[in-house]
Amino acid sequence: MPAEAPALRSCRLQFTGTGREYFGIWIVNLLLTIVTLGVYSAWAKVRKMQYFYRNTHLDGSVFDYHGEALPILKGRILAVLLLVLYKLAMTQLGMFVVAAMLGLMAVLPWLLTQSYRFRLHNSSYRGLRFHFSGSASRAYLMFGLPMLVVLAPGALAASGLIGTPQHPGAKFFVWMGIGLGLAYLAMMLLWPYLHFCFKRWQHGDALFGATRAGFQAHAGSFYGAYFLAAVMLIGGGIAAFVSLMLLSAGLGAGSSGRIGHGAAAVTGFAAIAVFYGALIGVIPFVTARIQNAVWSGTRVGRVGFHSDVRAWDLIGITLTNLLMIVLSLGLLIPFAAMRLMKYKIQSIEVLDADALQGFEAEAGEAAVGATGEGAVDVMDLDFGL
Amino acid sequence: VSADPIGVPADVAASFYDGRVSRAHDVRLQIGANGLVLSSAWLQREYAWTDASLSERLRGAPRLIRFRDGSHCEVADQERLDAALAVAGYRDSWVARSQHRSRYVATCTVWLVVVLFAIYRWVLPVAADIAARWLPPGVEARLGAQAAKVIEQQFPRTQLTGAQADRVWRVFDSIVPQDGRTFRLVLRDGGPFGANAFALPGGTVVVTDQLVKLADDDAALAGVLAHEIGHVENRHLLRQIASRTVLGAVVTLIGGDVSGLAVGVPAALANLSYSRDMEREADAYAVTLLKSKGMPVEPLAGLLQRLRAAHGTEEASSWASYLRTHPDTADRVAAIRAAAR
Repeated sequence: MPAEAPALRSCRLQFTGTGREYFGIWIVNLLLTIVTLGVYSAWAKVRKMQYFYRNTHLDGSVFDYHGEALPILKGRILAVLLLVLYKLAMTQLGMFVVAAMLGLMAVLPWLLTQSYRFRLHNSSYRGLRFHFSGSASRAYLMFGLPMLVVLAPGALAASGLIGTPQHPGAKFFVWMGIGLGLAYLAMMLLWPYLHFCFKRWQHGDALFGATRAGFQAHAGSFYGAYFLAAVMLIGGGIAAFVSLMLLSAGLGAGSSGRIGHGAAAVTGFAAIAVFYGALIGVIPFVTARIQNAVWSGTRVGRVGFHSDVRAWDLIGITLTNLLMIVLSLGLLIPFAAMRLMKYKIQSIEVLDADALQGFEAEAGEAAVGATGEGAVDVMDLDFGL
Repeated sequence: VSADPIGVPADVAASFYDGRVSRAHDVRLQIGANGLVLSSAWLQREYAWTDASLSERLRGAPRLIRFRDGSHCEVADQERLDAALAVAGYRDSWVARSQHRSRYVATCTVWLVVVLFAIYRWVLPVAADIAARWLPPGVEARLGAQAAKVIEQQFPRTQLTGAQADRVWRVFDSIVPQDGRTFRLVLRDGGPFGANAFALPGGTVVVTDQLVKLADDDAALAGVLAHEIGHVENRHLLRQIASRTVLGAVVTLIGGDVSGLAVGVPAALANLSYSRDMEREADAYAVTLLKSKGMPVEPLAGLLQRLRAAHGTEEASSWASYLRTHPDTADRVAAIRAAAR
């Protein structure tokens, strides 16, 4: 009988950023960004990321962000140019729109890959950089399919195929409707799996120094999270629909038989409130379950993780944050951001803290680190991965 | 190194990471004007300041000294480090210093509010106007053509008699400006939208049957058409698109840290005030045009009041006034009458 393994020393991530201190960074960043017409935003991003990373503590050491402003600025200029081109193409008719959408689809997965690679290459802990070895071709598979399904009807409509009812017959529309409907249904069924693939790509192809991370989460937990959300949305939707009907009927009866503008406005606002309520009430359940599944399923060498985000905590933080922001006309945004970040970071625990000591840098990495960016001259595009 | 005569500590405790293995080494750090010395029982390293960079000071996080060879130090004892740095003559950049002093932060906050207000009130309307002018007319015409196609399909055909339609065409032809722009008049049955008129970029003016019947006076009809022509002439829709884009970008910049959830609402609200400004501008254009044709202005004011009555009780709830795209009818009527004098 082997002796029972000694209890591992676990250690929770700590976040020491405060709203008060971040407020100063945030306000100076905003002012300089607006005064410089956005040019300073690259330097602002470096300051912000430094603040987030350096305030994240794990077992006595902190994370560090090494991104430099100029590559970020280049990335932002490129992103703005792409966006302007896209918007200009959208004002045209026909094939221009289709070309713009295809063009966007062709570059987005590549840009996302480069962005994530830049992010990880510029992150470090205890002097060791993170890396990302995930390929862009996987990104094309993961993002291409949903983008195709989501953008296809818009592209068809804009290309004028739908707008000119004289040449394709009614049959054409029926078949196209059925086809698109089936595509959407397939997309909805496939979505949790694609989300799982995305997280596996992000976590499983990441490296800490020379050590490759492993990803053992199951697609089933993603399906579970989305299924719960679907049940909540359908249930909530029925309840909301019934109460909206009652509400508009009651208000309509009050204004001399005819449904007045007041009733319509109130019903409209109620519908918007229900929509935001669903976002605030349902999204945290998905976020919590998926963060927990993803981190609990991630391993780096001997180091395992555990995450215990609770949806109700997230809902509480989101609601009070919203209240704070609205009542302060936006001035308390940095406080809200720090509260949420602190909660999310501190819910992650490292299961074998002593194993954090044993990692080694990739061979030749010191030489790359010596010149800062070195081989990594990619551009950062802020997609909020 | 000898002890400092004025009591400043000669060295600071730090954790050293060599950049090769994820292990911390406790070292003493001596800070001089030209460089740093790291020492422990088994390690001795010297770096010139040109090979080292110091991170900005944060309250809750250790300060980092990164070396060119990929190694770095984390210093938790901020006070001793500050004292040693002061002796060495080091100063943080002005941005880093202003971020952490409440007086500068308060000043920046005030400036930010002032700058945002100035942009919103004066810079953005002018910039949107310039952008709208700069856009080639072909783009505007195409945008309008798309919208016109949709409207001509969605609204039922006009129920007006030939004589009624001829009257609208006659009034329209008498006031339409001859400035090279091709204006189009489209008559449609308003259906649930009732008495209404709107302009599309490029020069399409849509009028509903219900409005034509309400405007029994030619001068009133001319006033409504002139108002819509004013929207076209001032390129209001393009200006709306331009200002909405910029407002969206600014709001995202400010609120992006928390979530995209609440970002759309303030941008949309902010845009409504521009929309009301544009209605006033179109009213002023209509008054000028009517006067130049020698037509009376009063019928337009009267028509606006009848329109308000036709649209029912929308003015009843005062909280909705913040959410309206059009200014209060009473204000508009008063402004038109004042301009007519």
